[in-house]
Amino acid sequence: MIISDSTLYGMTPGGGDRGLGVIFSLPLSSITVTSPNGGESWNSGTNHDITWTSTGPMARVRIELSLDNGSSWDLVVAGTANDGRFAWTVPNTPSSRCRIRISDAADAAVRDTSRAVFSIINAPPQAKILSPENGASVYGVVTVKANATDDTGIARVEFYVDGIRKGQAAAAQADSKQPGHSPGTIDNLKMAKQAFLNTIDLDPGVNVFVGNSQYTFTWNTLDASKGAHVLRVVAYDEAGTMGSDSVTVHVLKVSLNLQVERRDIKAFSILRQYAQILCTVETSGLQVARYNIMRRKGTADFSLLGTIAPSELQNNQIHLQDKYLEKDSTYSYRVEACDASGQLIGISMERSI
Amino acid sequence: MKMKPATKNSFRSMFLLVCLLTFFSVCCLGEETATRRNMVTVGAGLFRSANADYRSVYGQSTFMPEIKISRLVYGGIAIWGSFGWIANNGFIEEVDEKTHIRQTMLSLGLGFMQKLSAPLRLRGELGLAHISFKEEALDVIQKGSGMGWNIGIDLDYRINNKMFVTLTSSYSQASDEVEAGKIELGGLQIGAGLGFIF
Repeated sequence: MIISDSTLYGMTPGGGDRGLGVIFSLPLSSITVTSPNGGESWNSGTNHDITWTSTGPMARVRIELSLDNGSSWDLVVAGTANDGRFAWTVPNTPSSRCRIRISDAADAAVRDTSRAVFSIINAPPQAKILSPENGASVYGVVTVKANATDDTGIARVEFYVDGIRKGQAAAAQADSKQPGHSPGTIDNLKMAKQAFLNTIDLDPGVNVFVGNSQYTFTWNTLDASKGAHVLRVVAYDEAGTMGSDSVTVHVLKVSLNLQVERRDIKAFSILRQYAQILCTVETSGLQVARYNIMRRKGTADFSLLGTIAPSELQNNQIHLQDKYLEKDSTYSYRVEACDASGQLIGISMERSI
Repeated sequence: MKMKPATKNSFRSMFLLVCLLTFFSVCCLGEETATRRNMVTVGAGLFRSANADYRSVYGQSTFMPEIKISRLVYGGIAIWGSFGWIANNGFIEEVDEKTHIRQTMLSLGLGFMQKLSAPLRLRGELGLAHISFKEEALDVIQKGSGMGWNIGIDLDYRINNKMFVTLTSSYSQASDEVEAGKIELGGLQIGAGLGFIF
C-alpha cells in the first residue's frame, strides 16, 4: 500500500476471477487548521474567522476551544458546514494558551489542532469624553459627559482632573453594555441601580449620573485654579481592563482676594468691634452680575451678609464693614461672584477673624 | 471724626436762660444790696472734656449752659450749687455713624468771695460734682455717672447793686467704669453769665 498525500493506494490479495488481486485507491479524510494557528492575539468580543482546509468526504466539522493548551476542550460548535470558515465571536475567556481543534463531526479521529497556542485578550473599554471639547474654556459648574462601552460591560468609570480622581461611578450592567446584550428584567435593573447607588464614590462637589453608556460628572471649577486642566475619564470592565480619554480645558474664574480685619471702634463710652472687609476682584473677562458677601458666626452655616453690584466696586475692590461683632465670637467670611443666571463663577478663600 | 454744631436743644436752653435772666433783672430792681445775700447766675460756656475719645467724637469743646445759686453764710463764705447740661451730636467717620450724648453736671460746695474793688469781686469755689451721661452710639445706649470734685474761679463785675456780669472758669473731675474701661467725665469749663443779687 502506498499513501500519497490524501490517497491510499493498494491492491487486494488474490481472490478475483483469475486469482489476481484488485488494485484500488481510497481517498483519506484530513483536516488542517489554518487560523488561528499560533501566535495570534484576539480581543474578546471581536469577530474572527476560524479557517481550515480539509480533504476527503466530510460534510460537517466540530470546533472546540482549549484554554489550557489542549488539556481540556470546550465546545465552540458541534457541527458546522465544512466550508473552511467559521465566523467566531471570541469569548470573554482571556488566556494565552488557547488552541482550536477541528474534527470531522462524524469521525472524531479526523482532526487537527492549532499548531501553536494563541491568545484571547480582554478588549479594553471604549471611553470618550463628549463634552467639554478639547481646548474649551469653562467656568462655574461644568458638566462633563463621557461615553463608555465595553463588550462585557463597564464595571466603573472614574473621573480625574489633573490626575486626581474626583469621582467614580459603578455602572448598572445593563446600562453600560453594548447594544445586543440583554437588558435584564425590571427587578434586575432595580437591583443594578441600587448597586450603583451603593457603590457611588464622589469627592465633595462632584456628582455622577449614569445612563445608557453615558456618564455625567459635575465638576465645580471653582475648586480649580485658573488656566489649563486635564480632564480624564477612565472606564474599567469587569476584568479590570481600562480604557480612557482625556481633554484639556481652560478654566476661567473670577479671582477674589479677600482680606478681613477685626477692628475696634470707640465712641466716648462705647467700645465695639467691626469687620473691615476688602476684596480685590479680577473678572478675567467674565460678566459678573453681583457679589455675595457671606458670613457665618462660629460653626453656623454661611448666610448672606450683603450683595454688592459690580458698579459699586471702587478700583475693582469691594469695601464693606460688618457692624458690629460680638467680642468673643469668631466670624468667617467669603465672597462669591455670580453671573446673571445665579451661577457661581468665582469664590474667595474663607477668612476668619 | 468731626463735630456737629450745637443742637437746637442747646439754643432753646440758651433762649430760656435769657428769658430767666430778664425775669430776675426786673424782679431785683430797687432792692438794697446790704440786705441781699443770695445770688443767681445764669450763663453759658464751653466745656472741654478731659477725655480724648470724647473730644474726637464730639469736638474739642461743647456748648454748655449752666445755672448757679449761691448764698453768703458768713462774711465772704458762701455755699453754692450749680447745674449744667450738655446735649451734643457727634460723628464717627470711620464707620460713618452719628452719635449723641447728653450730660448733666450737678455741683455743690463752698465758696469764698473777695472784693477786689468797688465793682469787682473774685469768687473761689470748691465742691463735689456728680456727672451723669447717656450716650447713643454704635447701635448701643450707654448710661453712666460718676462722683468727683469741682474747683472754680469766677470774676464778677457789678453793674449795679442787683446785677453783675461774671466770667467763670472751673475744672471738674469724675470718672465711671464702663465696658470700654474707665472714662473721664469731667473737664474744663469756661464761660460768661449774668448774675442777680437778692
